[in-house]
Amino acid sequence: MRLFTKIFFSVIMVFCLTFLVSGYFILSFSLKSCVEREKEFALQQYKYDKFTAQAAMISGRLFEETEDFARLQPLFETMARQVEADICLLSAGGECLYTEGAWDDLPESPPLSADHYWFQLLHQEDQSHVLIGSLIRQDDVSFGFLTKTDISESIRQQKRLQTYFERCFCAALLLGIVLMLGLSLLLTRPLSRMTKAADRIADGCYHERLRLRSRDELGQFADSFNRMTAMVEQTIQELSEEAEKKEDFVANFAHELKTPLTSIIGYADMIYQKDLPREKVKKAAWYIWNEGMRLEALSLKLMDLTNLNRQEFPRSAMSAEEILADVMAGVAVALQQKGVQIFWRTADVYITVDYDLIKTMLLNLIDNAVKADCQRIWIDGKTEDGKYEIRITDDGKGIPAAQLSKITEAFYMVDKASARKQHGAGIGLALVRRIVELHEGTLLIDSREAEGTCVTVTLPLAKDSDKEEGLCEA
Amino acid sequence: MRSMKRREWKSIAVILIVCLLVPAQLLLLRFILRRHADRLLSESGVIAAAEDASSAQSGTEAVPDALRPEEWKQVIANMDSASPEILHDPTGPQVSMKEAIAAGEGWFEKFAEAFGHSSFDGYTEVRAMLCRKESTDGAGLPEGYGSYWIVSCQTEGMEADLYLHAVTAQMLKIEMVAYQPPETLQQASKYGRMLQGFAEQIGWGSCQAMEETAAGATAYLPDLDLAAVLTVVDQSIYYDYGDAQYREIVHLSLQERRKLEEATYSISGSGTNAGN
Repeated sequence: MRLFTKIFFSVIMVFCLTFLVSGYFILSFSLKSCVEREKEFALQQYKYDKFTAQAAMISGRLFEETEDFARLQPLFETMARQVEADICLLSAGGECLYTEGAWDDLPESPPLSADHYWFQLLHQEDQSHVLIGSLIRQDDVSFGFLTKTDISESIRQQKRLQTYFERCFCAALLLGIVLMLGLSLLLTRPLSRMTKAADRIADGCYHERLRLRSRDELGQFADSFNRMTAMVEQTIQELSEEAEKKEDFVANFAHELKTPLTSIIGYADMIYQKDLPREKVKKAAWYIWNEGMRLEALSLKLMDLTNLNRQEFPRSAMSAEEILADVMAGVAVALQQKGVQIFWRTADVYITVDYDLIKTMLLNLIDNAVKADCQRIWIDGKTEDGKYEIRITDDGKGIPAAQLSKITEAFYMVDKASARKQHGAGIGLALVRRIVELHEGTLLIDSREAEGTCVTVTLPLAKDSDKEEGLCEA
Repeated sequence: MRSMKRREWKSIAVILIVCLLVPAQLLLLRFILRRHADRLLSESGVIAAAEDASSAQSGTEAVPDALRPEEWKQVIANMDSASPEILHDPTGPQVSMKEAIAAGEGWFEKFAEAFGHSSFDGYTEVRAMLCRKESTDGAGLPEGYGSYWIVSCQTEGMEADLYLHAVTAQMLKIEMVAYQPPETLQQASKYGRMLQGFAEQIGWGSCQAMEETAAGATAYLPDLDLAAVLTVVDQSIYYDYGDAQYREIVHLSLQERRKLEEATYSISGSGTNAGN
């Protein structure tokens, strides 16, 4: 059942129940009060009538004549005229001596006494009466005296009140139905809009938002819904980009694999199929070895990149000078053989790093500089704005400005031929960027063609570290 | 589709149930109210009378013949208070209705004589009611002393309401209307006689009417702070089926002297009985 229907009918039923229960208590209280009021009024009137009747009896010496009541009819009539009400006079034995008005419904032997007033309410069809009686006593002579008061009009008034109440109930119910229809629609309309918005989002319109200007629970739900939708949209976008990158990665990887494998298979096939002179065999074997080395370098770098995404790397405070000294000691011979000079200096500070990763990063950057056909490499480490900044500058051939934004993507190479010749796979700077991200640092690459490249890496300082910097050549 | 159909059927079912429940509730209310009314309107029982009526009939208690001087003021103040009157049966030392009527008729005949109605053929109507004030409840008086009988006597040519003390049957107040032919109109000197008779009857002994005019008379009792005041409320010609009748409405009451001095009448010196 729809929420609109539930709200509508629940409120109508509660309204009816409340109205009718209240009506019962009000009407029953009203009737009871009316009856009590009429009884009280009848009693006061009875007392007055009783005094009048007794005075008439005393004046007419009725208490002195107790044998032949038949002769006292004129006196009774006089008394009735003075009382001006429906009365019934009984003898001490309960015999009816005189009545004025209709007394067919007089109960037999009503319990009359001089010490109390007896009352009886009578209701027949549309007529209601109050009978009140007691004994009139004088000189040891008693008479029963009863009056009958008509309260029909008051009771009819109560019935008219009840009818009026029922009409009010019906009118209020009709009005309530109309109001509740509108109110239920008003309350459930935002929910319908939310449902439609959710359906559109499910169909792929992630930019859909709810426009609900309200501060109640529905407004809060709309705000939460919009936040959730924004998060979903962002996550889907990130996942899409991630999937796209992975697709590109796989495609590039497949391409990088294909190229050396094609050469390896081609040269191996040639050696296998033909009887080649030794010189050509050696040359073919060299090509196979070279491409194999490239594949090996690619797989090693891919493994490093994969491990970076999977493992936790605890960092510790280490001396920047010691790290650089270690790296320089490792590359000094190779650089000397290639005729590349390297200069380095650093502030003697402690940085919070993983030693192996930072060494890998520095080796990759130096390797890239060498592959860019540089003659000299400068490494300068200093503190800047509370962080450690290390700058690796070379005088190589530089990177075109248009390609700078893609240079850190996996498998991207500015000069593919030159890089492959040196067993490059285009993964080095991707590795450097990932290492910098893991260290919560920043990577900035600045390059000019034919002038050189400057790579600036910013890393967090360890606490309580500060020493004077010194310049040294590896 | 199936769930939509089921939903619609549910809604229709709910609508039908509500359409049945609402009138059913109304009918139920009517039924319950009718049962309630039938029960209320067939009730019977007894209401206790606040007073024991039988004790007033024996008359065995010794009651004083007259109020003490200090009791007069309390009785008058109680009777003149604005509180509503409550009817009740005689109790304790209070005189019975028969005794009150007898006393009232005696007073009536005395004042009738002053108005020239010394002989009449019985009473056309006699009523009597015993009253007390609702809130003051005797105003510090002994039990039963806060009540008073109102005896109404009516004859040919005169009717009066006489206020008698419930225990001593002494006169507290009279309101009378007298009709008489203009040619038999009495002189204003009757006011002084009426006032003197009133004062003597209530045990004041002889007193002197300090002022007597056509508008009334006032008499002081020096030892008490009370005065008997006779006020002529109305004097006019009244036509009864073409016959001219002179109608006088006279009120005779007791008032506190202090309140009287604040009223219209001025009392002059020791005064004499101007009626003599």
